Amino acid sequence: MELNAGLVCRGLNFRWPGKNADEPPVLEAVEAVFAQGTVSLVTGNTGSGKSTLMHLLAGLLHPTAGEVWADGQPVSRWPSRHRDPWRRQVGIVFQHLALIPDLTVGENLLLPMIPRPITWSRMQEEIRRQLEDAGLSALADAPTNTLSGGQRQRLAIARALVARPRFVLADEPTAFQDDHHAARICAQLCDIAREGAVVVIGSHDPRLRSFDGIDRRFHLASATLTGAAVNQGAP
Amino acid sequence: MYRPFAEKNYRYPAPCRGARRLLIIAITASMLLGIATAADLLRRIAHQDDGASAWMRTMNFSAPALWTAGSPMRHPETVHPGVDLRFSAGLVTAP
Amino acid sequence: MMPGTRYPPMVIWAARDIQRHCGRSMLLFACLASLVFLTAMALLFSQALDATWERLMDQAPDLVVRRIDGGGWAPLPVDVAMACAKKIPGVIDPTPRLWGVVPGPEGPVTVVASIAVVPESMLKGIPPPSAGQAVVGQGVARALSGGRLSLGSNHSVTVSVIHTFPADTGLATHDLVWMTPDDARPLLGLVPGQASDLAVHLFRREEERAIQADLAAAFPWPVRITDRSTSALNHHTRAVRSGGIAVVAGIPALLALLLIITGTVVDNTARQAYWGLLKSMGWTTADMVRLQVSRAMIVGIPAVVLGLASAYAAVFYPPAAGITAFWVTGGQHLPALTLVSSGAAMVMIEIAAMVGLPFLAAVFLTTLRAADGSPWTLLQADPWN
Ligand SMILES: Nc1ncnc2c1ncn2[C@@H]1O[C@H](COP(=O)(O)OP(=O)(O)OP(=O)(O)O)[C@@H](O)[C@H]1O
Ligand SMILES: [Mg+2]
Repeated sequence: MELNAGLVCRGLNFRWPGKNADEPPVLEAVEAVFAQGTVSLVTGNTGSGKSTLMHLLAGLLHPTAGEVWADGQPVSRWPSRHRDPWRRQVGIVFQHLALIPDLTVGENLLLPMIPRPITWSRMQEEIRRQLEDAGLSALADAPTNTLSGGQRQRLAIARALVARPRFVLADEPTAFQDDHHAARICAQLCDIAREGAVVVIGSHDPRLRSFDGIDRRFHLASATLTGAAVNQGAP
Repeated sequence: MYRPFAEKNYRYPAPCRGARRLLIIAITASMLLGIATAADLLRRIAHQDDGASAWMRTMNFSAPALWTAGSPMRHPETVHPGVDLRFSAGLVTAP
Repeated sequence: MMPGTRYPPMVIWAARDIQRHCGRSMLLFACLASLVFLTAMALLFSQALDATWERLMDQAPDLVVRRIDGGGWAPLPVDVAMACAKKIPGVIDPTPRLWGVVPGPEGPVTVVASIAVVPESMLKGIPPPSAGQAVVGQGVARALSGGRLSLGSNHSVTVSVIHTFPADTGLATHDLVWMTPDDARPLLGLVPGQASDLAVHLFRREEERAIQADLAAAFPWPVRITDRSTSALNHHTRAVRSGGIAVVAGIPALLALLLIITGTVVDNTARQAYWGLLKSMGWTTADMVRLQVSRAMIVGIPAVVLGLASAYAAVFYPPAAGITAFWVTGGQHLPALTLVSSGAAMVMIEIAAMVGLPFLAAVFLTTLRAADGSPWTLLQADPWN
């Protein structure tokens, strides 16, 4: 039943191209289910491969072996002409944010909306809603490069969520946030999961570990992902 | 409560005003120029140098007055057939 | 509702992208517009000259018979010539012409006298000249002093100018001095009963060659016969040639276009991170092509239209047309340039296609190449990485 909803990793292996074969791979035989309607947290030391896993789940990187399934479809096996449009269901928050500095805050949020078949005023409506959630309404006209680090990160999250994606992949979403905003972001991600999205957070932020909205915790160490109980506290 | 700035952001957070203005300018300018040219073309085609043609016919001229009097192109009937007009001095400067 | 919101979001975003790269877009606009202007002006001019020539030459006599003797051209006895010409089947209305090139106050003018009476419908208010009077073309009228005109070097004749041909007949009348046969004869070195030459129209134009031989044989003295086709042909070669020159002159401009397109390529590779980001947000390669093609059209269509419109104005509007003619023909003097514009539309469409299609194709292909990478590789171009 779980196979048919959410993101599933099956025997996922990943090794950076060009690296020596005797070096250990970044990910090895990863088996995981990120179910629909849940928030999953992936922890791990720096350099353990959390970002790499996010990119694999978003279909930005190809696994060297194994597959990523989304809603029962082997997305990682698809050719790019099918995977490119599939990515419209994914909202990804990059660790390095990847905002466009010379656009305004509102225009950055417009980017994921442009190719979708909705009207201009509907787009504006969605952006307005998202800006309110991120607490950035007053800055809609400001150029992105005049924002503070934390504001930029909230903008990156807003951009991932603005098109109401089915799969939300957030890489260190609270890294630059104060406690109040970190809690707000977690609550926001939980709300989205309750509405039926699949939320995966990759983070080593200790504040998240104690956050009670998390349904599943995973730990990434020495290329293997170990899953943990649902909402019963970390092992 | 009246909040002009909040109101503006509230309705159109990413208005792209400049871009839409650019688009409108590009479209109207192209249409105006295109229509003006087409209209002028049609007007010219509708009535053209009929006076000139009629005088050509009445006076039995062999060539129009596109070139100055005295040049061979103006009076081709006076040129000896052995002379190739293309090489007449002063007539066609570029080869 | 704000203005412009009904455009497709992709098109609005294309305009936003242009705005982001304002300098580059302006450069592209200027290059495209001037490329179109240069090629369109040269081609339109030679096409218009050709069309004008063809239209007017259609009115010209099919054959012109001139008498020659040992010294060159000789006057033609009208009665004998008419009698001989009328004997040839297929020849209609042989007309003796009284005309010649005579030195005027400012360069040579064409003196004509018509033996037949010009019909009232032609004159449209122009009084036909009587003895001592002349009607002159615009080009001659310009050099007039006090309404009197002195012509000729040996047998100088002075006439009073009673009227000027209207400007719209300039293509036929620009350098004319129309006077009575009696005033014209001494200027042209003719005695009464003689004409300069004989203009002949044919019943069927295709018989030109055959009738030419018959005519030559029918006259009691040697004659030289010129037909319309040789002169028209000569002209045609010239017009095509000047068109050819235009194309050759256009080569540097085409190279410039190539550079612009390479510029677009560079632009695209520099923007790889942007493409990668768009892909990670669900843009497909087709979306990016739509974006880039919209961008190219928003800049390209106004540029092409502007180039065409200014080329059109430069060829067909009199003051500008003179400069254009001077430039295209390499300084040759073409008075009274009021060109026929039939066929101009076709030339303009051709040029729009000639410049627009390769440009769009280049944009299309370079975008395909730049955007069709794996999104992760594209994202790596981000300066952050
Ligand atoms: N572009 C790359 N090419 C080659 N190796 C890379 C590349 N990016 C990351 N790596 C390697 O892959 C491993 C995992 O990196 P990754 O960025 O996924 O770690 P992470 O868990 O996200 O770390 P952090 O918590 O610091 O963000 C690291 O050992 C890193 O050296
Ligand atoms: Mg990371």
